[in-house]
Amino acid sequence: MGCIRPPAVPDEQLLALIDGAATDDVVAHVEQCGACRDRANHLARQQGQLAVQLYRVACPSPLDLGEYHLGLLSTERIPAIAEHLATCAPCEQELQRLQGYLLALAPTLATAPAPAAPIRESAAERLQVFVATLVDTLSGAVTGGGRTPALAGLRGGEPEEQWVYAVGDLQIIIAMPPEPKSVRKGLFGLILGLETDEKAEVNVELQRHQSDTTVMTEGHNFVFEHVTPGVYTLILRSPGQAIRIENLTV
Amino acid sequence: MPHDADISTLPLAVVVQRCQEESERFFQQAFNDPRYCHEVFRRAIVHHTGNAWAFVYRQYTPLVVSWVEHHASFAASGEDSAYFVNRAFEKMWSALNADKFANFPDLRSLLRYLQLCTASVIVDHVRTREHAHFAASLSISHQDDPGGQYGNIGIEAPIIEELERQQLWQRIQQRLKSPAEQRLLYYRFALDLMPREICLRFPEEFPDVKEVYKMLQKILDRLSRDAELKKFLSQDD
Ligand SMILES: [Zn+2]
Ligand SMILES: [Zn+2]
Repeated sequence: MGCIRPPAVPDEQLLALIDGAATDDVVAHVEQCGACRDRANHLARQQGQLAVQLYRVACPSPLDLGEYHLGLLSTERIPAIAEHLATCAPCEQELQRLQGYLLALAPTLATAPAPAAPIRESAAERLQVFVATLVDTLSGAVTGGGRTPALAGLRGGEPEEQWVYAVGDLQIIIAMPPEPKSVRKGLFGLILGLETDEKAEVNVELQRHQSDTTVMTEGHNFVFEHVTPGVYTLILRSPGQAIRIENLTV
Repeated sequence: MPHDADISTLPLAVVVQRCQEESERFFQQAFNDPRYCHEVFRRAIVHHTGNAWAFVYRQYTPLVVSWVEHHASFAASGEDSAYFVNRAFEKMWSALNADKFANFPDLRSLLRYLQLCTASVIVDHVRTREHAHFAASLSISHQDDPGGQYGNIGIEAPIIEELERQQLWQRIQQRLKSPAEQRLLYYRFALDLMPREICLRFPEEFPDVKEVYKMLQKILDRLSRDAELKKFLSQDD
């Protein structure tokens, strides 16, 4: 059977037809022409086969995504996964869910209750180390209502979520706005309850494995930019004291 | 308190008993020493000590059950928690070896990895189900279309095994002529984006949807003429 009105509709136009994106004259032609309709069906089957077999074929396994998140992947594998995450919405969503899941389960990993009194990190240093605990998670909407001093506006946008950590009279509020077109995030913090003269002496350190970054506070804020997703320890140091926020998931 | 070196020389039975005792303290919210439990994991993973494996499995199963039940996708999975618990332990055993164990300096990091394995096996399950639904949606799409056009595309071939799928993906990529073709195939099929979406999301690479259809047509044509790939692509020929 040949095309009723040659030339037959070219394959690329039939592919558009399959997706519902053909022009009216192509639609009208194929409605009447059995040969072109057969060809469209053939292409649809061929494309469907590819779609079924290649569905998420390039996605990293859930374990790889998790190892990436926990900073356990070898350095040579990181760029490919970061690049994939930049284009693959399902993986990005799985990673976000995993972060939330691990964060929610984090309390089940505490091997001892958070010490009420300062513990000594090292007798030699005579450094008082306090562990800050997560006391609240605020959505952007709640923050907008003025419950806490907003971190919004620090870089223009309203952070979606904020984590409130507390130790003694101090509160540390953390927000992690995503950076455009990147898997990396900013990490913004605000320390409440410091005496004015203490502020200048606090410096903030973000640790993950061996790689440390140190940033001095500007006023009572601190900012880390381009933070790769992972689990970090944040340490706020002042002379003779340190406050640790552990398992901070970016 | 004994040093770590001392713990590593204790008989397994002693380490196991201390791990049990320290775990009790943990659940009573009392101060506890997690090093004994870490040591049991170490012997299981680094030394492949069967009894250590068995103990870890027994000791941590209740905890892993609670993690499974906490997962948002568990309820709809249609599996019982024991299924995922077994998969989670298997995943951890197969993923860790003596070299990798060095990344886990304490019990906390090991348990967090076990949590990751728990989430992973559930997400593996979710992906498999979603893939099956996706295939089913293609096989029935347009079937109800009264005109029957390009309808009932009849994708009835089973989804091939993961290893074979990866080989197919490699083979297909080798047949492509340019990085642009590779990107297009990746966007269109691995990410399941329609040509219009591809142009919207990647306008610098693919500004013109007509060109996308042309390139796609060339790719399909080339793949359909490939003898090795024919069995995957040409059911009706
Ligand atoms: Zn025709
Ligand atoms: Zn993906």
